[in-house]
Amino acid sequence: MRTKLLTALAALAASGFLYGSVAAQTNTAPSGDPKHGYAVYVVQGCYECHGYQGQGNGRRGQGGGGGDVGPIIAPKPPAWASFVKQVRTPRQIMPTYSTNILSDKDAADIYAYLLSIPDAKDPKAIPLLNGVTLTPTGAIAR
Amino acid sequence: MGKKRSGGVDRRSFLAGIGAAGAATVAVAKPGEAQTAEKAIAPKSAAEARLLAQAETAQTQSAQVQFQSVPEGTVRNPGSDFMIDCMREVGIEYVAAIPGSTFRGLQESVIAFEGRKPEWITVTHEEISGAMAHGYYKASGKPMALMVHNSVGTQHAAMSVYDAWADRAPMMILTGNYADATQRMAGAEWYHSKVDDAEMLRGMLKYDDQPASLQHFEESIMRGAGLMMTPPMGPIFIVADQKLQEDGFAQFPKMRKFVAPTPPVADPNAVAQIAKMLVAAKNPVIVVDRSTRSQTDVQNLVKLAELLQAPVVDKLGRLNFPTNHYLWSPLPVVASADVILALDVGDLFGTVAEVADNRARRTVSRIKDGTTVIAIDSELLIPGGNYQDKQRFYQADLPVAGDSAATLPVLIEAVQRAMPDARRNENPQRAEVRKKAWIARRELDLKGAAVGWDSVPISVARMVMETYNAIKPYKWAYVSGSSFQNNWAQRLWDMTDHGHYLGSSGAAGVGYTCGASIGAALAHKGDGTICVSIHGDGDFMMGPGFLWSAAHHKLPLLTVVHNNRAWHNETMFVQVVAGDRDRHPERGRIGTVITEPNIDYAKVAQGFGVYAEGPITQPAQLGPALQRAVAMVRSGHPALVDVVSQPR
Repeated sequence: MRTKLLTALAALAASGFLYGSVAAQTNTAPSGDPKHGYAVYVVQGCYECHGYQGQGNGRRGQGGGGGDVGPIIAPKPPAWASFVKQVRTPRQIMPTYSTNILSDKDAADIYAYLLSIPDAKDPKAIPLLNGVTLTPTGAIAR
Repeated sequence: MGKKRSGGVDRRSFLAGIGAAGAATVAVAKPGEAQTAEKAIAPKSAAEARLLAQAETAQTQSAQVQFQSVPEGTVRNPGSDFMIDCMREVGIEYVAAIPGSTFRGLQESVIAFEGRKPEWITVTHEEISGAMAHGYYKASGKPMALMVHNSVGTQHAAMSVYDAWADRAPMMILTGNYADATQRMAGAEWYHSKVDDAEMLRGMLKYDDQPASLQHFEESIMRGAGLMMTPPMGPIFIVADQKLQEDGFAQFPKMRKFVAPTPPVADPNAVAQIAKMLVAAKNPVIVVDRSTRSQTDVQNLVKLAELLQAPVVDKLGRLNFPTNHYLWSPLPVVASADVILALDVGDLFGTVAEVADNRARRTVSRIKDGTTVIAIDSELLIPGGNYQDKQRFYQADLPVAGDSAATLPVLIEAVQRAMPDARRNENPQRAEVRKKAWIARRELDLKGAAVGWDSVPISVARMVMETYNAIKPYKWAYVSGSSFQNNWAQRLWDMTDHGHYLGSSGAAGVGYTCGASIGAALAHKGDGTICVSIHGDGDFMMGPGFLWSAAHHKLPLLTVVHNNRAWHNETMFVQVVAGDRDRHPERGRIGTVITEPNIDYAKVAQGFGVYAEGPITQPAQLGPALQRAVAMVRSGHPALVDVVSQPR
C-alpha cells in the first residue's frame, strides 16, 4: 500500500500536478551543472526577461520604475524552493514551466548557473556609475 | 520679402521690369509688418501706379500681382500660393512630405521661394512625415505640417497620426483632390481620390475640412490651427482641392491675423477645493504624464510639489519633473497616498489599478481603500470613439475639466493660501523622508546597473550609461522612448529640463522613433543640441529611410541602435502564451526575432549617407565609438552606432 502511494505521488510529481514538483519540496538546491544550466537558460528563453547575466530590470522584486521585464535573479538567486515555485507556478507575468518543458534536473542546472554568476562589481569601481548623482536637488517652497 | 523664385517670373523681377531703369524693387509687406530695407519706388505712369497700388494693398504675403511679358496661359497667382500663406500665418515653419501629385501645386508654392518658410523637408514615407511632425512639436512646442498623397499616402500616414492623436500632439495634414470628378484624368487620379478624404483618419483628428474656395480654405486653416493647438492638442486634416491649388486668381481673399486661443484653466472654485484637500492630506501624491509643455511648467510643478513635499510620479509622457529631485518617485508610491492629484494623466485607471497579463485578467488596486483621487484633466474636453486611446474609465472623486499646465499657477497660489503654518512646519520632516528614499533608490539602481556590466552582449544599463557619458558635456535631448531600455535614463541620468525627454509614441505604434527622432533633431538644428535616440531595431526596420532625411537635411541626431535582434516585447509575449499551454517557450522566438541573417545597421546607415559604426559587440569598444559619433553630430551631421545588446 505504501509503495503504491509513493508511486502515485511520484507520478503526480512528474506530471507537475503537485506543488511544482518534488524538487520544490526541499529548500536545499540539488547539485547542478552550471554550464548545461546556461545552455538551458538560453534555450528556454530565461534571458529574454532576466538577461544573460540574470540582471533583469536591475531591481529585485516588482515595480520601482524598472520597466516591464523580470527582476534581478543573479548573483544571489532566490532560495531554491522559491525559485522552483516561481518556475512551476509563477506569480506576475512569467511563463509557466512544467516538468514537461523543464525537467527538475534542468531547473537545478539553471539554478547552478545562477549561483555561479559572480558578484557584480561595486558601482564605485565603475567610473561611469561612480559619477552618477547621489545628492538630489530640491527644496522646501513657501 | 524679395525671395528668389526658381524659374518663371517673380514679383521682384516683374516690378523691377516696370520700374524706371535701375530703380529699386518694391517689397510688399504683410499688413502690420515692417518693410525691408528695400524702398518703394515712385510710379512713373498711371498704369504703373495702379499696379503698385494693387501690390501694396494686397492682403497677403503672396501679394498677387499682374505679370507682364510672360507666355500666354501662364498661371498667375496660383491658389496654392495663398494656401501656403495661410499655413505660414498660423505658424507652420516646416512641411514634410514624400511627393504626391495631388498636392503638387502646394509643393511648388513652397519650394518656389528659396529661404522662405515653410521649408520643405523631404522624407521617404508618409509614416515618417507624420512621426516627424509629432517629434518636432514635442521638441519645439510648435506645430509642423505634412502633405500626404490622397488615399495611398493617407493610408501610409495613418499609424503616425494615431500616435500623435493618442499623445495629444498637434500636426497639420494636407492632401489634395479634384472634388469635381469631371476634372480627374483616368487612372491614378481616380485611385487617389475619395468622396470623404478624411474618413479613414477621422477617429484621430480634432478637425477636418474639405474647403471649396480660397476663403473657405483660409477659414479652415485658421479654425483648424486654433483647435489643433488648444489642449488637448491633436492632428487636423485639410483637403486642398487641386483646382483651387492650380488655378490662377485675379484677387486673393483677405487673410486675417491668426490669434491662438488660450488654454482652458480649471474652474477656480474647484481649484480652491483641491488646494484644501491637498493641504489636509497626510500623504498627498502627485501623478503626471502629459502634464507640462515647457520648462516653466516643469518649474511650476516643482514648486507645487515642494510646497506640499509631495512625491511626484512621472509616467513619462513628457519630462514633467526632474529625475534628480528628491520628490521624483516611482509608481508604487501611490499605495501610501491618502490623496492623489492626477494632472493630465492619460491613463488614470492604470495609475490606481492594474489588470495583469495573465489568464485571469483580474483587476488589482494599487491604492488603498479610501484614497481620494483628484483629476485635473483636459481629456474631459474631447470625445472618444472608435479608437480606445482613452483607456479604462476610473471614477475620480473630484474630476475637473481643464489643462493642467495652465492651471498649475492658480493651483500653486491656492495651496499657498490654504496652507496653515502647522502644516508648513511639517515639511522639513517630510523632506528628509523623501530624500532618504530617493538616495536609497538610486543606490539600488546603481547596484542593479553594475550586474552584467562587462557582459556580452552588452548590457542595456551599460549602453544607456555609455551614451550619457558621450552626450552630457553638451546640450542634449533624449528623443526616443525609454521603457524598452528599462528607463535606465530616468533612473541614473540627471534629466532636469523639459526638453531632456520627449516621451514615447503615445499609442505604442512601432516605427514612431524613425520619424520622431528626426523631427526632434529638426527642431534643434543649429542650436548645438545633440539629439540622441536609443532606437530599437524592430522600430528602426519600420522606416529606415529616416536616415536618408537626416543626412539630406543635416540633422543633429545620434542614433544608438538597441540591437537585441528581436521585436523583443513580442518574444516575451509569445513565450508566456506557450507556457500557459504547456508548450515549448523557445519556439516563441519563431517570427519574433530578427536573425539569420543578422542586420548590419551600420552598413544600412552608410548606404543612406550617414556616418556609422558597428556592430559593436564588446563593451570596451562602445565608449570610443560613441565619442566619434558625437563628434560627427557636433559637426552638423547625423551618426549611428549599432550596439549588439541584451534584450532589455
